[in-house]
Amino acid sequence: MGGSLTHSGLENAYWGLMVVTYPYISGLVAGSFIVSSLSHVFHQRRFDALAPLAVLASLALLIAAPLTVLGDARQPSNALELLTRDHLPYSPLSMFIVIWLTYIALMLAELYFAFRATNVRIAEGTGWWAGLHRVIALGSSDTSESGARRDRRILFGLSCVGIVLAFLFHGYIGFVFGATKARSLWATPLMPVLFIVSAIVSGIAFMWLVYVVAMRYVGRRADRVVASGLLTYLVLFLLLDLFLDAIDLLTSAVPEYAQGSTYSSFYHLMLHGPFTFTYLGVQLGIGMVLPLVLWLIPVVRRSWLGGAVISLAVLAGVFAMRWNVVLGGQAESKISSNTVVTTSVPLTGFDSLQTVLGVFAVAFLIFLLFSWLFPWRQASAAAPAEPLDPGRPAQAGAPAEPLDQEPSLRFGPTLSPATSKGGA
Amino acid sequence: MSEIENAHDLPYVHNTFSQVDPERSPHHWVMVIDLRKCIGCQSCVVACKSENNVPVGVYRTWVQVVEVGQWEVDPNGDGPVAVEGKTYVPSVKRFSLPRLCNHCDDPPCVEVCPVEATFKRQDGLVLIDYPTCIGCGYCIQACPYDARFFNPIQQTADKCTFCVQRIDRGLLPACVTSCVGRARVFGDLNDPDSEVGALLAHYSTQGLDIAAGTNPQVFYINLDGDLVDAATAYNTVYPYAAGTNTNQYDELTGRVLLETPTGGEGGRA
Repeated sequence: MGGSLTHSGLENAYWGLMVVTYPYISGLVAGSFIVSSLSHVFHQRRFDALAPLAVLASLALLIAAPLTVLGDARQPSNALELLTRDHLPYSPLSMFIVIWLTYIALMLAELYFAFRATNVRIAEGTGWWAGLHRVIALGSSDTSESGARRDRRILFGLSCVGIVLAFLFHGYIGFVFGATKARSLWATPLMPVLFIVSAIVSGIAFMWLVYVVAMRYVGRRADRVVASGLLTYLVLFLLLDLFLDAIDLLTSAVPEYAQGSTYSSFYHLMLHGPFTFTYLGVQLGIGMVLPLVLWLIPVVRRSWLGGAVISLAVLAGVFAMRWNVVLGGQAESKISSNTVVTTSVPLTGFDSLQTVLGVFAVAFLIFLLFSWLFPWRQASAAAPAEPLDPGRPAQAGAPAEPLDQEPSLRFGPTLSPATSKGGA
Repeated sequence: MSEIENAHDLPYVHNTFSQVDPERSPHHWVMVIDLRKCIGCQSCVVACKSENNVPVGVYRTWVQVVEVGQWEVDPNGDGPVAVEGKTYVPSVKRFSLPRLCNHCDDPPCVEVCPVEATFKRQDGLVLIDYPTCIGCGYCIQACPYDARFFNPIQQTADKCTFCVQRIDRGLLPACVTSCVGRARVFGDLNDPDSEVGALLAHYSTQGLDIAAGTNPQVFYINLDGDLVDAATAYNTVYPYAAGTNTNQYDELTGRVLLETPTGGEGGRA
């Protein structure tokens, strides 16, 4: 039946690398927020030191995330139409502005309460640095233990709402694809769940790297309990992700179970086509099987290098998943069978590698700005956690660094090799 | 970038399309395309481009040339295409399939627009308010017929309007007036004496991709399964063979797939 089309070039893939990056960044937002909630909601005390850092990273990425879709839109100057004539609740994309603004507000509140006690202690000093923190602390001067307990209660409530928002924020992105019945590789109810679980996976891997690198930067050794605890959660969610991918494979790659169009697209694009390397090789191989195998080896699991390799592999796999969904779904032709809609990613200009790196650079700048304003090192040290460095026990509740000191912007490790080397 | 015309102040619908009451609507515009009469001259494509000032590289209507049939093994072994030791001869026919926006009664493109920039007018037209469009491209993804595209000049989504500027003044769409074989017929389904009404009453008609549940309002006479198969995604996609120029034997379907060039900037012809 049918035949081959005698001409092609009929279709274009309009969503490019920026739309690949959008779910990737928002996945990191959702995932790192879940990491911060391990401490705030689930009372995993060993992650207390990690929570302030996770809040900062999550907020910086959250602010930068819409830049990707703004850069992809042909009329970015019309973006404010989302506020004035949002197509709620009919369009999956219309959920963006509601969820994003709520999420920003919630994250700012969370930022305030996570750092309130630290800011108040800095504000007790003198100079512009203390004055600035009097403003940031919004006039609060409560340093009592009951105040700290109240902060934790509020953080618990905020984080509970935040988890729901994190799921919504990433679930709606999955639904943007899942609701598009014109594209058979997208139109699956699994999409929101797949996106959420891979978001959590990527967020944990991302926070592992941020935590270890940030700790090295400030010259403290990253805590092994925190790092290996994160890896354990990573593997648990990775197994869940693998399970979902297995369902996806069963309902796409088995002709007897799959819709005809889904199967033929999946066969010719993912299994024997332009996305075979990124799907079988990177998404499943490097992103899932490799980390699980590495984690099973105790020597690798316990080494810093092994943890870094596992985290980087997971991050690469999740990016490949976004790549395969966004570009792979569009590679399937809608109107002319026997063709592949080819895409290429430009290095510079509109929708290119350059713009994606720019968005990550903006996120990093925001992170630097926030981590300078909100001293997470002192907030982490103030948290009642296990000593961060066995060789240099920090007293619980006592700041590890003088608080009234004005910040010194250090670009590069200034500490002795003995403290900055983690070692396996 | 001008706003869309609405000469008779007809209501717009963005959300649930059962709101469009055919009884109370003055018109219900549809198109019937009689494929027996299409000769593939492409004059509708030219007329549309001229009437609507459609930029180079994109098309509001296009005539797909579809080859239907199979390549069969030549028993004598001297067919024109040789793959893996066998030679094949074509047993194929060519058909023309004029395509345009189907002005669906349940348009997914309208539903997914985040800023209500596209809408269904009460008389059935699916239109775009260009100054409001943010250019996110979601409507283009959501259309099962690939009828929408980014207009490279005004940088918004764009599509066939059934020549709204003409039909509001009592004229026929440009593609209909230029059709030499009278294959395209445009009219009001609310009018029982209209030509489209008569055609729909007399002939069995078919829509493209009706399984998508979009309720398309462009009806085809003589649209058979072979054509639908070749002109929708519901078939095998072409095996990726970048840089090679060899014909391939598709193990999945048992067919020989001819190498066709892919890519290019939306050249519909």
